[in-house]
Amino acid sequence: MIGQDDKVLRVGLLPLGFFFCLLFVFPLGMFLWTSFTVKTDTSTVLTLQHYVDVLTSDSARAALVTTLLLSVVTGVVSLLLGYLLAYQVARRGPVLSKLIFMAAIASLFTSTIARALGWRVLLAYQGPINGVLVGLGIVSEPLQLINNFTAVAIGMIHIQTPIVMLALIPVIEALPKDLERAAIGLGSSRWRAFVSIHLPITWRNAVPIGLLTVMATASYFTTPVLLGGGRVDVMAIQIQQASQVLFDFGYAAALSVVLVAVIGVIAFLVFLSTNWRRGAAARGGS
Amino acid sequence: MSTLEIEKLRIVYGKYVAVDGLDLTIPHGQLVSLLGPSGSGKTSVLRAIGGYLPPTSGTIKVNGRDITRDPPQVRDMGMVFQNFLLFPHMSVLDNVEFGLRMRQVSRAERRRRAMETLDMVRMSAFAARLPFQLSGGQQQRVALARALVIRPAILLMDEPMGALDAKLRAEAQEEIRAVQKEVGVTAILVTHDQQEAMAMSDRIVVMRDGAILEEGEPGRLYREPRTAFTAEFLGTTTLLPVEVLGGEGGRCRVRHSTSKHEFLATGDLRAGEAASVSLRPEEILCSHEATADSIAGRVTKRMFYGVNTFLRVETSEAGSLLALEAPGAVMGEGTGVHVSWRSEGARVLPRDPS
Repeated sequence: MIGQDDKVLRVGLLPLGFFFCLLFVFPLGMFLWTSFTVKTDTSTVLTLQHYVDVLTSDSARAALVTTLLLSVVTGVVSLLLGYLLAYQVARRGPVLSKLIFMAAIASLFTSTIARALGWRVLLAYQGPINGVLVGLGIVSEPLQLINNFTAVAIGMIHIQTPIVMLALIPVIEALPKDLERAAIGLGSSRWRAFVSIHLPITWRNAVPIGLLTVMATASYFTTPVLLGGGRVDVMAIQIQQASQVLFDFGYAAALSVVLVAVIGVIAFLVFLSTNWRRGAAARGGS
Repeated sequence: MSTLEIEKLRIVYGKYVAVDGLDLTIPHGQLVSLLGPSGSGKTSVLRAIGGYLPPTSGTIKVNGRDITRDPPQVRDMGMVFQNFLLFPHMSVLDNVEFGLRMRQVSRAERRRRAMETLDMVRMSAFAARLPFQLSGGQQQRVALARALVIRPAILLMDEPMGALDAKLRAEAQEEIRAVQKEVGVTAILVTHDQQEAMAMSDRIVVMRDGAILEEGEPGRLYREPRTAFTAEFLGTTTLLPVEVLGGEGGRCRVRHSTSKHEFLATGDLRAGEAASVSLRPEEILCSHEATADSIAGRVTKRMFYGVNTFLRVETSEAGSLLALEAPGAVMGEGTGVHVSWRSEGARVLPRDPS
């Protein structure tokens, strides 16, 4: 019976595999191929020209730096905020934890565009935040809060924090509450127990979640467009420009490959360092 | 030198009363077990002493000082948790040093005291290991060292053998008891294992439904329980339902409720009371020959336990009895036997209301 079920399952997977290849692997391959070729009227020539163009273009290099900076800032800040929120949800009373949980879910139900537009209103030159700052006399005239890197970062952090929080709740719940009690019973303050027991044990599981945030942010398009007002040039915007304005698909493909490669290298380095730590821990080092 | 006094301790969770007006005094250097089935409130008492659970009312005093509202950090309690709960990312040495580091003990002194305590539990050779590289028994010894290194006023142990297999358990019991005596620390052991409680404690506190049912030295509780619950919970026994016909001078004449068989038992109960008679297996004598007051029975089950062999004997006068096979005698299943007991071995106890 089990063997038969197995066979059914395997046959059932076939269409899935077919569509996966047709709709994902094949276009990806085409895309990659495009980045290495130039089409003339008569033939297709293999070339690295697109990559040379990307790497020598000042705007592409600047966009890459902006993208990485935005991704890392978003990753780090939403990891911190998400961790604190997840800790509250996992460790506090049922009322507070439910409230936080519901707030996070509610924000996930709202479209990213609506949320970005919401921030446009809040951060506007004559918006409520500036109103409060001026009203309290903290600043003499309204600040430029919108159409800059900070605005985009705020928008991105707003999008990523609930996701990070949801992913971290099981990580924190997996740690027995009594482990912190043990530390507190030995004379540690709550804060000390959090820093010296809770964080070191959970951070290895938290880092990959932060990394996912970095990856997701690196390819974001809407928020940088809506909150950056054209002044925050990220790779996603460059790619969109190249493919939809200039119709230079080779160049667009090369941009994408460079972005994926750079993010891949970062991910690899982070994993390597956490694995190295794990190895050291297993060997008995501290 | 620490004496623990608990007065009228009451712990309520919502509508559920976990501990109901408990009074308990533990003199210095004693190891006292809180023994009871799950839900008897024993763990709640331990957590209240440790400061992890605020009591609803009542006071907890150490050496006369009221600590009821003190946070756990300043209570100086050493706690051994059921799953040991060593800090997984710290070496054995760092685990043991943790409490000293929180007390701002100097580095050299920390090292010296931690190694000394690890020596005591025979774990100093493993100081550099991480917890996951240790066996359960070794982890438990480290947990004990971590709790003792801060020289706690009281050592609290919450089912410390719970995560060990049966063979390790006996070793660990011996070890913990030896270390506790060596250090001379006042200790409280929470357990549902009656054997563990009897083997380790100076005194056992039998708990049920959030209250103390009975307390005393293990031998006394085993031989002279005052309640049927204790008789059944500590060791093994057969409880016979009886009516008291009358008695004097610590002896009663009783009648089995169903068979109407009459015999003498030890205990002071008034005539007419419904009671239970506790018969320990070792008090029941099984013989091939009949005597004046023996009753006839048949062995239906023979259970070999190594040190001794238990017999399940069916009788018409006293129902089903659990007896100990006499050394040297072999009584196979199906054998007809004659069962008797001395009145000193049959203890008549008030019938358990539940």
